[in-house]
Amino acid sequence: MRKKIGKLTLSAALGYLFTFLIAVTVLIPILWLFVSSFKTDVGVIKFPPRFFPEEWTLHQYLYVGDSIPIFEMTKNTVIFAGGVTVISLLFDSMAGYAFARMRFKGSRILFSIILLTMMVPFQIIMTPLYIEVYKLRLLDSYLGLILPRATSAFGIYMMSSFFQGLPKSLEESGRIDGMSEFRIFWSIMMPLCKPALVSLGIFHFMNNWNDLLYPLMLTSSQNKRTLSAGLAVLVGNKVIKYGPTLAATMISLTPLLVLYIFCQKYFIEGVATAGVKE
Amino acid sequence: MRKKWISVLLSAVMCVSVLTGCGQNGAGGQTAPSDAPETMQEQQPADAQADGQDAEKTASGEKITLQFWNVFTGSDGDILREIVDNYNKTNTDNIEIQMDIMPNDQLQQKLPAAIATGTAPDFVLFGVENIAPYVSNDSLEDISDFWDVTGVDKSNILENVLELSHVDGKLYGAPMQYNVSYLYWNKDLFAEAGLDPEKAPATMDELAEYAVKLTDPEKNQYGLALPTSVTYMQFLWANGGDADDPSTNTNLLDSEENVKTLEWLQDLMVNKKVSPASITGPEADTMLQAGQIGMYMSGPWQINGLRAQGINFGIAPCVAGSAGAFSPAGGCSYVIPKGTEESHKLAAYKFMQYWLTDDILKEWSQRNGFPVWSKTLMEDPEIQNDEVLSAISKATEIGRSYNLGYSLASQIDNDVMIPLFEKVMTGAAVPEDALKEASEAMDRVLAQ
Amino acid sequence: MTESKVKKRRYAAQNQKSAYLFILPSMTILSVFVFIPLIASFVISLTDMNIFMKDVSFVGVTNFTRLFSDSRVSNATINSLYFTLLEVPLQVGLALFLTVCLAKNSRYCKMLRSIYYLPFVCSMTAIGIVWSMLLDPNMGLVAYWLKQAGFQTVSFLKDPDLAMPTVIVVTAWKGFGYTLTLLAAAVLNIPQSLYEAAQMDGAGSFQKFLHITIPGIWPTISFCIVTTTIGAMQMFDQAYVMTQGGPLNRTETVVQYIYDRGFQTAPYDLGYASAISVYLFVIVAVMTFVLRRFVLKGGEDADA
Repeated sequence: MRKKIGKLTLSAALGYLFTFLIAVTVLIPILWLFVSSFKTDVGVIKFPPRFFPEEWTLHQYLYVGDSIPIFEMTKNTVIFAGGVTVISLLFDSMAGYAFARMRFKGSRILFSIILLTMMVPFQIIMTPLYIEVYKLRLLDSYLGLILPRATSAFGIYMMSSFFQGLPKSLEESGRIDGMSEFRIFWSIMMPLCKPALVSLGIFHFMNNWNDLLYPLMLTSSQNKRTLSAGLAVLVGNKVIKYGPTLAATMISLTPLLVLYIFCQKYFIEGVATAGVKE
Repeated sequence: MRKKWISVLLSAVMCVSVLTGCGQNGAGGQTAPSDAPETMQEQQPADAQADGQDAEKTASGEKITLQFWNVFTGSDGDILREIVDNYNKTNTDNIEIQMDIMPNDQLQQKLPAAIATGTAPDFVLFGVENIAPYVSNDSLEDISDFWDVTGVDKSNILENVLELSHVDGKLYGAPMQYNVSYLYWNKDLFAEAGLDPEKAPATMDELAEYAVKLTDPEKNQYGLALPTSVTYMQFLWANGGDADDPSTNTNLLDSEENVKTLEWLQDLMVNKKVSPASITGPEADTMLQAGQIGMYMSGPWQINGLRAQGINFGIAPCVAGSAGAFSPAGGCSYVIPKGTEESHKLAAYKFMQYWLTDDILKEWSQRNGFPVWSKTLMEDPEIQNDEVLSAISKATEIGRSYNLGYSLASQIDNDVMIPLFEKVMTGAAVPEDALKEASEAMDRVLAQ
Repeated sequence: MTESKVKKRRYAAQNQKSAYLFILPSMTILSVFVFIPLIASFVISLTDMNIFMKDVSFVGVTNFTRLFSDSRVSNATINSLYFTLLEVPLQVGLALFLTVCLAKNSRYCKMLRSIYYLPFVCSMTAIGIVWSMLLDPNMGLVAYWLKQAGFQTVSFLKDPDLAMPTVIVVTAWKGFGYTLTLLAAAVLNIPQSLYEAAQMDGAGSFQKFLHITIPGIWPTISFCIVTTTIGAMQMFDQAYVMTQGGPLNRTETVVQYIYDRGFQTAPYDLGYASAISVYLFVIVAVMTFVLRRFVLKGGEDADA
């Protein structure tokens, strides 16, 4: 008995050590990015390199602020990434639910076709997509940016495998109560999906927030530009300016971090409630 | 016949959306249901109408808004923006330029699609190496009438600069900046290594000798940075070799001279290790700015960075070999995409004319360190007394065109020359074998 | 008896109708914005179209025959497969292992899970810049520290043999946190009663993991493997930022070569680039099919 306890603590200790070491490897580069964005131009590329700035400065941030309309671009990015996230969460989970919990003709084929759409590199469909959005007269509009992204094969697939993991008895009770399919989906299933929804939401938000090529192709005026497209301008054509690049990276990262920290709470709570239900 | 079939198929596939698009299209009649890629830019009726209206507007002094795309990311873009903003405020033709900067890779992906759909900007500023492929696809306006329309004195611009904006004798771009590759050297490191800090190497032998003296692995210091992602035409030319002759489509790679040059280069990299291995251009820039590099060949865009980092540097022409000294030329030009309406084209001419005034060219050169190529400006005492500008303008005289205006240029670069230099410089192959392989690749490219 | 049968059938029909309504919005958007461009690129692959889209003519399968004799295509295919075969097990395996360590809602576990997630939120461009700067053999901190500690200089991204493994590790470093969060959510959803029952039967912790945890999260594991594989086969950003396909094309992936042919090297041969993407499409589709049909069998497909 005593021996067993000893063994358990040893493996637990190893577990702690390992997980802790991984956390350190994750944190160091990000911490480096953070502190380096406060370095001077000379400090960033100084040799021998130093982790922390010798002289802390806000110079890089001020430079970025002077060069591009950060506020305007952040607004555009929030509308674009936020719009995509909200709409595609709804559409993805509806489709995912249908594929996971309902029987209908052609479901397997349709699902396979949806999976197939994930397999073409985006670079190659970009040009036809541009022409199409142009034909729809949606170039350079928020709608034109959001609509093509308003659902995704990845999201449908993810939600469907999440729904598959839920106990089968759930919707039966709803059906017995005579609820409509949409009511069952909306009031019974969706609340259980909180962790998956938050996770997928962050995924969509982050992807669209960080995307460069897509929003750049479909907008043609500076005042519809998103943050990542705006910040790409700072990198430099011939010579890379590392200082502003690092500051710009921090600027585009911060809202995502805040969002993640904020969502983390819901995320954990969601998991907890889902666990309690059954 | 075949073409027609393709059009039908493509249009059927890509333009199903037209049907839905028509509903929203209030203008009516503009989108024909049989639209195919070839006909996409045909918006003549509507455009012609717009033309007429615009002409009237200009006559009554109404505003013309020009869309202007360029690839000037970074600090030179800030200066360009200032000049454009200033033009917007001061011009008397009621022209407003809306400038949009994007990275070169994205511009290259977007612009052709924009030209094909008639959504291109009114004028664009990009590297002269892009002009030939765009022209061979009929995507740029011929602006040969630029001199007559604007009255700009063509003879005041250096011939080799103008040359870069021409394809088959026609003018497609107004020169914006011109440069060759220069030899930068760090005077402090020269002094430390016991070399004369005011004297740059003039020959390939001196270059190699200095490079060895300046290299000190202990201090992480290298004599000569040679990035592997670029070509070194200046070395091949210096010994009398070449890559190809664009005018006759001939392959000139397989020569004794080239073998000799490449052996020299491989010796420098692999045996003498005067450069950090497999670095990229930006990495070499960074090391130069950090004072870890003795010598480096690059364009004028290094100057502002080196000044900002407080490096004590000099600028010299590229070194000479047995056949002389040469340096690959490059530059940027203003071009007008096909389909820009006449009134906007003329308005863009006005801005190009403004750019070609000595005041603006002088400001650009002084603030960015680019060489001057307006003859009257070269006589300007302020320019002549500027140490960096006079050095760089002098070092520009050895400029030579490397496949500029040749539509196969980027393929020769990416598929033949860059892999050749990379193999030689990393020691992956002996020069003779690498050259033979590259020569075969060159034949395949030229056969097209 | 008969009445309930009728009821059931009517219900089934209704269920069918609402199922189609549920997938309608997604299917419409996907059809318009993904299928059409996709089919367009299939058609383009049979033409000699370039990005200027002028004077297009039909060339049959020329692009495909050219593809099979192009050594850079085979090189890129091998690189992509190499990347996928190492990156996917590394990312999913690491995430699975850490899930087991951290599948509790204690404060420590929650905190670590959110730390692991951090790199995923950053853009690949940012990650690429940070790691290239840190790993730079001449100027980077990691190389400098290693040198100070007496190790030989390691030129991670510059060494032809080390470049791809480095890209693999950085990619897994960025992505494992996301996989972990998905897996952890699934683990925490397994009813606690199952574990208690197993406990009563005297199952050890490894047995519980094997017989309860793994089957319980199988759909999620399967999802992670399939999507990570599809993503890995389309690897582009990492190499684009960190190595540009070098050194000596050792990190050039299929998508990078597609991008190079279509958009970076004149004559900007969109027809050929599309042909390579059709080829990639077929490889990925076959891989996904095999994975889902044989390797990951018994999970999500069991009741579909």
